[in-house]
Amino acid sequence: MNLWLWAAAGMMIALLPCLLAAWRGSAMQRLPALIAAGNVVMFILALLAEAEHRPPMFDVALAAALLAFSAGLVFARFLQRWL
Amino acid sequence: MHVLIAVLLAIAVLVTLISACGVLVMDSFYDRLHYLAPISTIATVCLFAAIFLRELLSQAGVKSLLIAAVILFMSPALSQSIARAGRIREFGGWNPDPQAHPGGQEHPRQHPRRGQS
Repeated sequence: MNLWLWAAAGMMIALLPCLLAAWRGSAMQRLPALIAAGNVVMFILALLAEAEHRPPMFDVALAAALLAFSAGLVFARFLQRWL
Repeated sequence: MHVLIAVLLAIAVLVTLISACGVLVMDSFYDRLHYLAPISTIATVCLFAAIFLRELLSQAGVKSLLIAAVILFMSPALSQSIARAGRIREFGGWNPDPQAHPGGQEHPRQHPRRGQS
């Protein structure tokens, strides 16, 4: 286990409170937890790419960053009135 | 250099852990939104600075800078649009005075409105 894998393990622990927070509350209260979980998953992807020395895998983290942002906007838009 | 990278990673993991617990503990939607900021600023800068310090201007280093830029610039816009959506959902419209348009479907206001005891 190198330094980067330990950091990824720490980030995976941080994922648990996000998932628990997304589990309860109203639809609007769950959205910040979903956004936080998206950011944490992106950190994990980048750390694993660095731990395994695979530069092309950073593209997965970059795609996750862009998709998490647009998914959050779509959720916000629909939760505004329709859901 | 190795120590600096370890310190940056430790800060990133700790800030993310504390913020995630904050999102879990907070009840109100608006309070939870505040805990997104440390993740998308402090933890992002520390984590991708650690990667850049190790990779410098290689393919991985440049991509880590790009990911950090995406998060740093887009997270404030996302938080603002989510807060706006929450307000419209709660008051029925984006107008400054919720008394004029009570509307809204969410839970009743936690704080008494202005002028009410």
